[in-house]
Amino acid sequence: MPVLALSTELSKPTEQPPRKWRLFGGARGAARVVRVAGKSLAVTYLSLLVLIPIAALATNAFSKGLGSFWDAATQRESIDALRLTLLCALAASLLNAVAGLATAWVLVRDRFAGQGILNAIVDLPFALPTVVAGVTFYTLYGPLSPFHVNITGSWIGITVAIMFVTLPFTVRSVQPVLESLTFNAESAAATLGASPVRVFRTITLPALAPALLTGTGLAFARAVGEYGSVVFISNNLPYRSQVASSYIYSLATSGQTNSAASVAVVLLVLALALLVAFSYVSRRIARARG
Amino acid sequence: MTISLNGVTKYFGRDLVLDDVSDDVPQGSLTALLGPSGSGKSTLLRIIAGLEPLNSGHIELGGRDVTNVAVRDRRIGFCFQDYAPFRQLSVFDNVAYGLKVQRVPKAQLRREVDDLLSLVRLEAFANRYPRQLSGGQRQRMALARALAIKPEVLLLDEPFAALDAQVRGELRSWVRELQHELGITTILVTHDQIEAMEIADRLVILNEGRIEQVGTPDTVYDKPANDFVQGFLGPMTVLNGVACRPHDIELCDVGLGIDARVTDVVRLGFEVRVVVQTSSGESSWVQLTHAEAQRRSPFIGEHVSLRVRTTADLFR
Repeated sequence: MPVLALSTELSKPTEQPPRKWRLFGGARGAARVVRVAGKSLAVTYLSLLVLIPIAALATNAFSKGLGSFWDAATQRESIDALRLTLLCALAASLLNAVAGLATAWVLVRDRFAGQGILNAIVDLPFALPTVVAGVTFYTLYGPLSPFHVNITGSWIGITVAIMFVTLPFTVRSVQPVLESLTFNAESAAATLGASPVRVFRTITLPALAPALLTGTGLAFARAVGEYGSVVFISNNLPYRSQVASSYIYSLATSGQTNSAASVAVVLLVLALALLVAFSYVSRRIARARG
Repeated sequence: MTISLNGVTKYFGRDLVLDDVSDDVPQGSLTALLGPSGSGKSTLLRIIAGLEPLNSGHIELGGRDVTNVAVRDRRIGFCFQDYAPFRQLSVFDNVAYGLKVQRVPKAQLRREVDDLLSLVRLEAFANRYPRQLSGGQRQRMALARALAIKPEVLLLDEPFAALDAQVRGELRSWVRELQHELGITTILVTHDQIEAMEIADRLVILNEGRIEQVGTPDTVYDKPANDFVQGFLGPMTVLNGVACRPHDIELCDVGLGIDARVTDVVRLGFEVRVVVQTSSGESSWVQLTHAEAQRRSPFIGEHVSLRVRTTADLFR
């Protein structure tokens, strides 16, 4: 707290602050100017990019009244799309939690040739345009699959596409925590007679749980809105294989902007609720431990 | 339980960290592995526990060869330098961990953990979490956790290094009493020669992966096997070309010893360091007790005479 210490020093009645500081009301005033400027920048930034667009979306959704919102949201096509989206997103993020944990483990605790390359590959889904990923999956696991595996038009295909896109989230959130973990607690458990499986279950996994939950939550939130990678492999059949983002897109392009906004608001609320739940649990665990 | 090390050799990559180390630790003793950092003492402790593989040699516990026995089957109590608390578990559950692994019945488990907590004076902290404990309390929790599996060997890695001076002193004598009471064969690693001499009844002095000397604190201090041991165990100076301890030099009447001139007088707690230069130009120093310094009150520039005290002087 150097700022605070400095300001008490200067506020002694006998000492006048140097002249140039008086413009802002002393050192304390200058520090306040910096704080206020920082706060305003953050608020403006978040408003322009997040709050205003979301407010506009909500306004649009409710512009024709609650009844119209409800009708648009509860259309069978809408409910089927939302349900499919949530289930696939959940499946993908849970599978990624397991696979991502394993990947992070191998990257941190193993030493092998090509480890650096593998580490770089993890970020590839972020770098690759999602549409490119969608087309690639379609050619590899579609009707023309060289492996004769066709997962198009099914929840499996959608889940695989989403898994690809959200892979980095779990890996990158678990990796640094795993790196900072010393082996000592694990070694201590071993000296107390615990088997390697028990050590992992009772010592390592609980230590990684908050990071794992955060990563899975982020992956889920991202998965719910995924469009580009999913749109080809899903075949986009209403009631069967149409995800929410694709349904919203079709509504918007056919002029039903209010309905599109309504479904989008439902999607947003669901994703937000799950994200908040994940981070709440994760923070509870972390706090209990300190 | 006796611990027997036979030709223990360990490499980290190409670096030889333990070079043919052999020692027999008698039942019930408290042995300190003492050496500067990088001497291999912590590695040796981890090898005994089975936390680190060795390249050659073998280890026996109570006459049984355990070289290839896994950590979890050695039943060794091990305390880590950072205490390695299980952060997500309460103090009670930390101590109970080893007993749960052994599937000890609930009522018995509760009784045993309660006994251990009162042994380490943490009864009131059973439901706290490690982060809510002070360093000394965490250390005691780690000790109780290690003792829960009723080990016949206790290994402590720099157990007091992370504590502040006052707590360190208290815990040292407490651990020593506890060890005497329980009679568990104990090895502790330390780089602090004063700590080692205070707590242990046997010292194993390691340097660069080799044992320099083994013996009681008295033996190694009074009859150091070589210059390294002598230098490591206490301050050294040179008088008239002979290495000696600065507190073994006394100031005597001019003409009775080696003539010198005082160049500096430094007060160090309850001792006083008098830096001198002999007539031959050699720099040396003498350690006086505060009482001696007050009696003689040496000053800079004073001409003094120095001589090394002999054992006979002590009985004068």
